[in-house]
Amino acid sequence: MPKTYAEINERIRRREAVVLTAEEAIGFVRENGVRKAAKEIDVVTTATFGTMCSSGAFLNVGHTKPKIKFGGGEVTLNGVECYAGLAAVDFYIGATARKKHGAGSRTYGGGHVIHDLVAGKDVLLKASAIPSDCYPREELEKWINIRDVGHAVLVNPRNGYQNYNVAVNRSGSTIYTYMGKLLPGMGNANYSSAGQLSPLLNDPRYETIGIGTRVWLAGAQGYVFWNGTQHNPGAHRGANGVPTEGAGTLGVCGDMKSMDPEYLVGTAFTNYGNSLAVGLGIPIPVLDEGIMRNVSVSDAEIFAPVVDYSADYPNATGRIIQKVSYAELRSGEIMIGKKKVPTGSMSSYPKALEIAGRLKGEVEKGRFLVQEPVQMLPGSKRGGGS
Amino acid sequence: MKKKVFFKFPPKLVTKPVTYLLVKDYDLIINIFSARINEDEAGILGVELDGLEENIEAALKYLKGVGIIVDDFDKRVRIDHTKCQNCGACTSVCPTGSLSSDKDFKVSLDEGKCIVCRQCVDACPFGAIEIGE
Repeated sequence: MPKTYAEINERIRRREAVVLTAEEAIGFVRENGVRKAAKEIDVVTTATFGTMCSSGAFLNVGHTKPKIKFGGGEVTLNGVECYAGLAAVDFYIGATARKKHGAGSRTYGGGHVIHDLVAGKDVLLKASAIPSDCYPREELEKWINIRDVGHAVLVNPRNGYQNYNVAVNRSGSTIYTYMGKLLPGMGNANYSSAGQLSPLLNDPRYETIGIGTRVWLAGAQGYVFWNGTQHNPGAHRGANGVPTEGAGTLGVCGDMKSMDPEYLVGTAFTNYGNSLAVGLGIPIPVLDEGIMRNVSVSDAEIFAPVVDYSADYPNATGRIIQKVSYAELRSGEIMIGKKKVPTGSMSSYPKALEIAGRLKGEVEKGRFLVQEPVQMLPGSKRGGGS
Repeated sequence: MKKKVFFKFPPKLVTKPVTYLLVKDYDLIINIFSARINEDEAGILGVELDGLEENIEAALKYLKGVGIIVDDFDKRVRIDHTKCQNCGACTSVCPTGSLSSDKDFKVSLDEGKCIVCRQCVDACPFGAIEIGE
């Protein structure tokens, strides 16, 4: 018998819901079979913790006396340039923005500012504006703290990428990329997905994750507001329906004031730039056996494409060297042709596991309900999207 | 005896055939574990010397005499666990397997295998790896 969202939520409210992490679901289904698992399990928690370059935050710092209009002017936070083309005291700080001058100019960026804000540190705001009759002030310099900021909303137009490339370097010298440091002659291979724990790899056809889905975003409850940018449901898929290359993505947002700095960590990639590592967790309601089967997917059944970041990626040739499973990647080395190549991960599996565990705890305690999407994502097996 | 050291070559000495001399004149077995040339064109060679103690001492005295800086192998790689996120971005660049992901995929450092080649330092996006004394 299929379950409904209302039935599952009722069990969550009564603290009777049976919840597993996506890692635990693999063993449970192996031991008990899909039918029994679908009957007994209500929710499976998925998670990921990795660098999400399209992260940023909208802030509103409240009006000053006399008033100032940032819009059309310039704003920096701790020396990192913000985007001020909004209303009077709204602005946006992007994760990849970089401090241009002074100490930390090679390492400190927007991701670090976001982390510092969420960690409760004071951050220096500097603004210069074009005065008008209604907003006469020209300059503003003050320390701000997230406690005193009117509104702070974390927004990721693209998060939770469903699968990703494995990066190698076939050239003769070391290259520095957003996939890390890549040694010459395929000296290493870096991947970036939580694999069997990753939200969209556990819902390959977007049957439960859609617009309106409640998510765990860096410790706060947030929402999927739209399909993510570059969402590509038409990507190549294996026989199990799981994409074997980058496919779906999620646009997510949440109240930054209630986030945990442990799950929003600034990053600096040598000779590349700055970004922000973001923790995302999504509970998947086990509505039926098909969904139970999907959430029991293991690393051995998920494949990713190996791409040469010295030539094919920058030149967008689309060439793939071969495909490898996440089980192989996690073993510490993969075979590319006849060459044994050590692997490294850009996404933290231990942190993803921690998030899946925390979310499981919140669902079990009745504090996190599953939300039926108000509209399915494009490419959803359950229709509705376009 | 065996001894691990770093040789630092000023630019004018980079072309000196040091390992050849150490083998020929001091009867040492040389195992090179790292070799780099900096942006200022100074060379840094990490070697393990294997031979008689007096020969190693004499060889080092000779090298210091010609202007090569000999640094004892006293640097250590350190992971700042308050910054480390256990991603594993450092493990694949480690040439000796001293940095690896354990069975729970947490990053661990086996100092016995580490040759302080510094490959990992700029591979960490969280700034969690440093070289200390």
